Amino acid sequence: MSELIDVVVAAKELIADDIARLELRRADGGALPAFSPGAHIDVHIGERLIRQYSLCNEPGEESRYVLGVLHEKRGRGGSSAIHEKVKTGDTLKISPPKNNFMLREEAAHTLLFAGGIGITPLLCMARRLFALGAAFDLHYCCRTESRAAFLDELRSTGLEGHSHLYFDDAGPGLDIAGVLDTAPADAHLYVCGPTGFMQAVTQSAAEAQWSTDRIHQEFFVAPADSEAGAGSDSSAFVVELARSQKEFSIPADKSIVDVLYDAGIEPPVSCEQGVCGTCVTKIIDGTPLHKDVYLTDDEKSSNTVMTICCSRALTPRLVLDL
Amino acid sequence: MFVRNAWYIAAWTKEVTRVGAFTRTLLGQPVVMFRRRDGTPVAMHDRCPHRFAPLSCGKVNGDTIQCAYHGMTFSDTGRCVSNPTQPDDKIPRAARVETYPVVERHNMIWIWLGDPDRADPEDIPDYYQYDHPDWASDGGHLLVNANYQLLTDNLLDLTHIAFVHADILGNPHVAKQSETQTDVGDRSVVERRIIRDGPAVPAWRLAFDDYDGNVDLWMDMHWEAGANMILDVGVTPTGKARDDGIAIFGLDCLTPETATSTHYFFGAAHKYRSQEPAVTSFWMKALEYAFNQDKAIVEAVQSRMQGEWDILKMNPVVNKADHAAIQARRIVQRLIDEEEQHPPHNDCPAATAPAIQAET
Repeated sequence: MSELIDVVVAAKELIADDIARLELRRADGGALPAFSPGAHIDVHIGERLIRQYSLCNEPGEESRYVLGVLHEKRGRGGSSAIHEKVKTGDTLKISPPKNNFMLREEAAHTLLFAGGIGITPLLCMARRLFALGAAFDLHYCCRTESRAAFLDELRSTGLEGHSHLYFDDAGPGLDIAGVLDTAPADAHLYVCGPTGFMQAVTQSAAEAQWSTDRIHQEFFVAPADSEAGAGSDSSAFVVELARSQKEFSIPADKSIVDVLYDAGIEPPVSCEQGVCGTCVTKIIDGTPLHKDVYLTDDEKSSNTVMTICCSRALTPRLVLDL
Repeated sequence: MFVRNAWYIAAWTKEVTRVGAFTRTLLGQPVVMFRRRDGTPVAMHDRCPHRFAPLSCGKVNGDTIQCAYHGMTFSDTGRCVSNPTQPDDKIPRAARVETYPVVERHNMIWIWLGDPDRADPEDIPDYYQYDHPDWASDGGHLLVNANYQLLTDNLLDLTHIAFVHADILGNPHVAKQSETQTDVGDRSVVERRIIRDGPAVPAWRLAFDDYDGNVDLWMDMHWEAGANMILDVGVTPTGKARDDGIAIFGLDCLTPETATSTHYFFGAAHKYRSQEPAVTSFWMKALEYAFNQDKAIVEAVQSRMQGEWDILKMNPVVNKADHAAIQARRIVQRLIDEEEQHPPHNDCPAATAPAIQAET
């Protein structure tokens, strides 16, 4: 695991309803690691309270990271802690930037679709594409104008020529199919936002025969449900081993494999991070939360197998063929 | 072991001349290649059906090839057209040689060793950079004594460059920092890697000779099953667009020779300074040097597998950086399984099973 970085909250302000903008600078005053559009960091808010937030400032800035954080009142406490407890001058620990949502800078045309707080990684991409002089359009949908973050930037700084704003309570909505229809044949699209929004965009793209390598989505910023209830990284659950008739509770900070090895049960493993497939195990009952990169999408949605080194549970109980 | 229903490179265009025959073993099959009078290539089993002499030892006459042993002559369709030592020039019905679909494209000769009914030239990877007026390019060939998937693994996990190629493609910055993204398709994997804001590695520092500040180095490896790869690689001043820098499209196409040996077709194509042959030869020399480093380490790996060709059967430890390679291996295995479930019906007598079979 990469070393954590100590940062100071250099500024915190409310920039829209329920959305705070945080500016983080290195506690020792040094430069932060370079990042690319689409990157995120883990923010360690408290003991065992770790959340991922996209970076939305100008890529290449080494003096600061800027985050936009939505207050999810039905969430598990991560965003509430940031909104209610974290204040300017506090120190936090963060991970170096990681990127699962890389921008193809060389694409002939780029479409960015943001729903709500999903704007954060896409704003960073828009800044980069604008700096490159690339062809792109940003489509940003919010429930109301008062809930839309970063409007000042989007209405000035040159981005206004590329930004299209849609508010559910005023004016026409986004015609996804129409936008896709008029895009050049080799355009790439990026989408981030609530699950329903992302599905609407990716389904329209699939119907319009976009190949999957031109569709890019960021999963973790799904404000509608990401912090709600069970089925997240930090939930505990119970695993029952059907063949050996044993039962284990898997705490939030341990994997299934960790608990089994502690108990002297040693199923084959290799990478322990969902890459190699060595530990793929049949599921007899319950629904997993897949966190690996080994299984195909079809295998994942079948919910009949899982990698027990890193995947977790959406249901309180999993019964495994072990 | 191999995906047979796929296009592989059999040779560079320049390797198969109009003079005589050229032989190479591909997917375990000895193949002879020659050119017809009109210049188009022919590929067939390099074995006379009579006494099994290699046809490549014989003579090319027009559109036919004559065996060096007893003079049987075969047309470009594999049919025997002359059997001079026999009374009346009698030609046995079974005197046929299996031929294989070949297509010459992008200065490469592509071969299909699977079900001929499924050979569609549309499926040949689009390596237009190797045959385009705006690009300069060249290609080379190395024989590596290792299973082809060990080389695929090597090319899809470029974290090794900091170690294996430390003197030419690596530096301490490259070893420390990189961002990757892997996209898995039905028959393809793309592994993108960006190493930002560091000093250029030695080869790129030499190539980018009018610039000595920090650079972003990108390496986008595009893999297609069976084992064809092209690497979009280049450097640009930190934070700048790719077009502000320089790039090459490096070819890394693997054609298995046997289970434990591989033809490595490599090449360099560049659009920058495309009128300067010295740029092409610089890259060809740099790549040949680097790929001989790969050859040394991968052959050493193969030797430690003590006769096994499939490393996954030997429980290697897997790192996160092996993700793309593992996904490529999954696709290869799926395609091989599909081929075994739907074997081609083959009506070519030379390829049918022997009449006497062991009882099972």
